Amino acid sequence: MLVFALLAAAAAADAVEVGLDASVQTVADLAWDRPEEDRFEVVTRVRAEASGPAGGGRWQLGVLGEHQARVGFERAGGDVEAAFELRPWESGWEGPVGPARLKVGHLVERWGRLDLLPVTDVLVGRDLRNGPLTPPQLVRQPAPLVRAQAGVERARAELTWMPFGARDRIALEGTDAALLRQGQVSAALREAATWDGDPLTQALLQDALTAGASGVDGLDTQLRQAAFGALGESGRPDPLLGSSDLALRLEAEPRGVDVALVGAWMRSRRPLPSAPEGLVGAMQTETLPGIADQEALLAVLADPTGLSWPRTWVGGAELATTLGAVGLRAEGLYQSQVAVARAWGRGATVPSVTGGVGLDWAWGTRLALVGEARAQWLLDPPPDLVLAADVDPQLAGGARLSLAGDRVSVEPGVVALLAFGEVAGRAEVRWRVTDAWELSGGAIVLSSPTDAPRSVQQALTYTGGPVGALSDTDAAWLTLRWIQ
Amino acid sequence: MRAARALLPLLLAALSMPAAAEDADLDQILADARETRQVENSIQKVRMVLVSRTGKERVREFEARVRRDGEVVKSWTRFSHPSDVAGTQLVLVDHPDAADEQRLCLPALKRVNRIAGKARKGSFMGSDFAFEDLEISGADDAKASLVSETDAQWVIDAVPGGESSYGRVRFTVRKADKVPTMVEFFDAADAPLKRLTIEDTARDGEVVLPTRSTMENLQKGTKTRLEVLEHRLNVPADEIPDETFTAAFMERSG
Repeated sequence: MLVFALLAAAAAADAVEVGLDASVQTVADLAWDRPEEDRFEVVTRVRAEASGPAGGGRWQLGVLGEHQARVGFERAGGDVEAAFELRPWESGWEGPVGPARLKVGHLVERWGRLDLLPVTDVLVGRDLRNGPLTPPQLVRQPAPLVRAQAGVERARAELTWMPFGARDRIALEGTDAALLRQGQVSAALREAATWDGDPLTQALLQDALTAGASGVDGLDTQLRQAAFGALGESGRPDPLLGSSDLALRLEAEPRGVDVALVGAWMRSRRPLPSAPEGLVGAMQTETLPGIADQEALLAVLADPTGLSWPRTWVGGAELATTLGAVGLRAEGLYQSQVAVARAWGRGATVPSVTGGVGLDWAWGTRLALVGEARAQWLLDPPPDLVLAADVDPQLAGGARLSLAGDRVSVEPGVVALLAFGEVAGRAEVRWRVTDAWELSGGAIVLSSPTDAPRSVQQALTYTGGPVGALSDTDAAWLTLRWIQ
Repeated sequence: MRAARALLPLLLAALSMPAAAEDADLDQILADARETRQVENSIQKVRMVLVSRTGKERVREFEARVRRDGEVVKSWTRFSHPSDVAGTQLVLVDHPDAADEQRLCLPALKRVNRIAGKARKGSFMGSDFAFEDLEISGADDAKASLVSETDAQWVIDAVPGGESSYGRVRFTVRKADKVPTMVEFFDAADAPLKRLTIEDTARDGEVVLPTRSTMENLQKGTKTRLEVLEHRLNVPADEIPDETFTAAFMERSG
């Protein structure tokens, strides 16, 4: 209520823009592959934003509320669960300070020219918790940052400091798009409780694992989301300088072409796993740790995920121009340490080089076509990568056909991960009934030669790619949106 | 690379007219009309109402800034309503002797992008205005002829050349102030396609500005009303600095 009161007050001021975007999305799982999965989800999102002039610049204020209700038919402890989250959206101030322009706040700083397969857009974290169902405008997550910009008319330098860094938001457990699906953790704990081990500790460990499984099953949604969210954030350093990132962007707009050089000294947006060897050995041999492995056991209890967030140097370049009726965009990026997952919860850091190119063509607002290609090369990669490939070429294409005076649009898109032989196709039809109401419906189909993992063990040794890992979540949705 | 071409912002002060004429009198009419409508730099706030065949209305509001440096015309358009398109911006820089520059900023993508030439084809933001309707010069190689003349007005036909989607355009020009009061567009088969009616004007110094106009699509039954909510013409150049037309300005105005 405070937010809406603030927005109402802001609306009274001169030159203030206020917007409210509320939507209810009902998602149906098209293929019921697992008894534990969610059959339906209802996602309600409310985003309120306001902006206006202040101090020669502009302030902005945003807040996002998100409620998810999931219906699974055979979930232990009930078949409906719900979770709510309210968080600040883009909020801050941008304006002149002496010869420079300053941007301060909880904001999104976007790099790059490619939309479907970005390469240099590495500064902000992404919301990956709902996989491909998250609306594109909500994928990039705001983070606290300060950006100073200085330059002349068509050339400028931007120095960005992110005091607390940023991270991707990944669902660790319990949803259709989580790394570990509904019921997999408790099932793994129950299975481990049947393993043999040292006679001195076996019974104790089996009891503990059984109790742990019951505990996970008994967590309510909010608590489980918070608990696994906290686990996914473990290992992030607290001290300001230990967490902060520094980034520099040099950009020029000579006639006919935009070019930029980017560089950063930043923490990885995705965590580096490093499961203790004692735990890895136990999982591989399916035996409980013995008395001699107590040190490993204690390490697991102290830090079950073993996550860290390695630093990396980043250097890249961007280019955008037009060739006749076609727009051309290209990006390249070098990273000194990319965090990659290996089998059984291990991880590694390797240097990588990524390149991407995009073409687009449009006929007014009636038709827009875009095609993009990207490839990442991991330099000196380990042999047992999970959800990654030594060389990872990808293709993507999309279109937007607008009909009936822009009241109806058809938006198909496809992504192909060539290293894994995987394809994801998505199509959505939007109907703007009035200025205030929009109705849309769509579907996504995920295809992979490798089935999605059915257990923790399969997830930790998965040989498919990111599309395959989600390939049991083909879905169709209907969304009603209210815009003010 | 067409001379003195600019989109909507300039249309609001100056409707499309043929650039050439076959006889001296017609040349003078058009030259006078052009002079009357000549604007160097302008800032305007505009409401665009899209009316469907069934009478349903949708509203768009935007601000347009135009700066003219000799033969180079630069325009910046930013939509402010409805909220889901607020922050969408279009920058057009028309060079007389080089490739035009066009940039589009879509707030949802957080990106300012160069766009290619065909992006200026077809309907403007779902309205009954085509991009080419909004170009100040119209077709440079248009052939014009005087159809009729009364004490109050001239009626002039123009046959656009080049890539125009129109077979013929008929202008009705008011003699009193040299302002076109109606523009009728015909398709390639010479069937009536659209009709633009100027319903109200305002005088700002020597310039007569259309402040309310309606474009009707006679074949689809839809129409689009343009209302100028605020306007400032011939503003000092330093109020519209060159920086207005850069990606950096668009990014922070998104």
